[in-house]
Amino acid sequence: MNLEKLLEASLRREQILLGKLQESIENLERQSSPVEELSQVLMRADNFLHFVLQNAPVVIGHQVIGDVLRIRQILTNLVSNAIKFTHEGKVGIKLYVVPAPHSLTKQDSQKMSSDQTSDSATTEKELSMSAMEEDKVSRPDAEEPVVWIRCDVYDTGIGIPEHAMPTLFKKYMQVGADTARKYGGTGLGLAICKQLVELMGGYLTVSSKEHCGSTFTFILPYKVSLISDSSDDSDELSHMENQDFPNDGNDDDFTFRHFSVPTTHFGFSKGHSDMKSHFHPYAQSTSFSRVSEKSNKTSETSVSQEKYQTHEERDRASECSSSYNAEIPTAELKPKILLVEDNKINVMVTKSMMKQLGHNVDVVNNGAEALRAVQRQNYDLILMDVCMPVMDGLQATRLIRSFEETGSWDDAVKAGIQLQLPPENSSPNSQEEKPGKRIPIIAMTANALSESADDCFANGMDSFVSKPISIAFPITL
Amino acid sequence: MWRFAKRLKNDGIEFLSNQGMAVVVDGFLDGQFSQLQLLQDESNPDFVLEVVSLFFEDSERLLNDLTIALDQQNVEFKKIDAHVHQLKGSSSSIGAQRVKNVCIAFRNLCDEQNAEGCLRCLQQVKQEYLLVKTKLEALLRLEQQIVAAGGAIPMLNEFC
Repeated sequence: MNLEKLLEASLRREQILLGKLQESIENLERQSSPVEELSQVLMRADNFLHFVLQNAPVVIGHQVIGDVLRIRQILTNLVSNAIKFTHEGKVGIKLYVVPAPHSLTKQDSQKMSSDQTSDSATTEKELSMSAMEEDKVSRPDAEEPVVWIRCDVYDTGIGIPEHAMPTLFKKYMQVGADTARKYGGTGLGLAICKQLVELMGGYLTVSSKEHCGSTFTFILPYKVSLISDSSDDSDELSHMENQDFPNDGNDDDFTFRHFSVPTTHFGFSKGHSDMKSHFHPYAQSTSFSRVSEKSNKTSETSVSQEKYQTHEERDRASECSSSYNAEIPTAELKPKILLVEDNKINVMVTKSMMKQLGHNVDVVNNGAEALRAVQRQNYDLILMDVCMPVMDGLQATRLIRSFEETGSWDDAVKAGIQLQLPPENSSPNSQEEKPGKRIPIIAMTANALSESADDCFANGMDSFVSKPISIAFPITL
Repeated sequence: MWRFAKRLKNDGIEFLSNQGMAVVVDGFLDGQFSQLQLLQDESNPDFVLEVVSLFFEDSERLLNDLTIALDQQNVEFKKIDAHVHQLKGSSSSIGAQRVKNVCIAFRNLCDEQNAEGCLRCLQQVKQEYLLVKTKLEALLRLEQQIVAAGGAIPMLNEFC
């Protein structure tokens, strides 16, 4: 199967998905938005993003996690701002998947930039305040197909006055002393959002009218992986087109509709005393589990996808009230992250940063403990400090890779690590426990000569971040 | 915001204000500290206080261990290096850049097995630590006062 054909198959699949998605979104916009708590809004944004990321671009595990982490942070910032500055009316999120342009020329991209700098999306680029035309934006690297996701965070709040627009995304600026005093906050949120979005190769813009409301729009590119097997693609396609869902009257089969009915257009209304959710958990659970069952077999990726399946099946069984419990599902949906770090302060700071992004992490303090932890359960991501007592990060990574390749912990035992004898991995339903699955490991280095990037990669690490860890560190994932 | 300006000056932190925005220009704490402030929110209201307290505790323990280690007949440079490495890590994570810089020099001296140099460095690191401790305590007090008065917490500026 040559590359061209793979590409074609991927694009075809994309087109169909996108088309259907657009349809369902348009239908939804005619409906009234459900009333719900912020955490639910964000959680559903998460769900939707996971879903889109699973079905549009097929990417390798840690990138999916990285992407969701990044978007989540941007969304959290924008949505909490919107809610903060809105006293009545509503706050909502709209998500669109936008098709990638097929022809990319230098001219096209230069046309779109407000100042004629370079053809690559540079971070120094000054953003225009008007919304970007979604289907014209292009990327210089046209080899891999790119899908763009656009997200609007809109509100009917106090709006932003003209004079504040030029400095809106600059650090430490609040609109005025009054605003700062009244609303609190640090004035850094938007600057960081812009930075994050641009680091991800996207754009962040705003349109606003004082006393009416604002809409913050960001668009982000996602690469379609060429790893997918095209024969499985056609399986997916036929599955998607022929699915029949009992709880929806019309026979438009598309799974997106069912998933997206509660989630693609969702909002938060203030000024209403009745906060009851109109969301039907049954609908979401049912459709989603079917989707995840079939569509994710081909991707060699996130355990989180399979976790969706488990969570949703459980949900189906237990969910019977109309109130959606955001707590339990969220915990299950999250990737399992292991932090291996000996310095207490670094642990505290890193844990808190991950928490900000909505993730809990397990913590161990050296390489040997890391091996034991990995043996006990599956992790989707490991953040590994390099310099640690007892066993350092490089050795621990080597031994984890050795286990992944050989399926045995012999090397570790030889290195003197005390491990519990693992249970037999031959149970039929533990498909996600096969030893071959590679856990993404990210080195956290203090940049000393002894912790060079080459060493990290040579020992089996996938990427590295240098300390001190900054809030933007998920970008490097 | 303005009445706090005077207070800040007395605590030895320079204060500049522009359009009602608080900017603290300081050579002791770098941009990393403002990242920590960002991590503080409603769900984590005492984060800065907790991290800073932990930093104080941890650093004082390390400085104590270092003093003892350098006081020995046979100085164990590897052990000392390990302690300094820890201190470098924490001071870096909290934004105490001057402490971190001294630690870097300290580690070089350990590599050279220079006991006298290490002793001098230890003195220097203690000094820098006390200075940054004073700053942090003043900032925390100030933040508490501002929050109590219902205002927003000033952010550190990264250029320094």
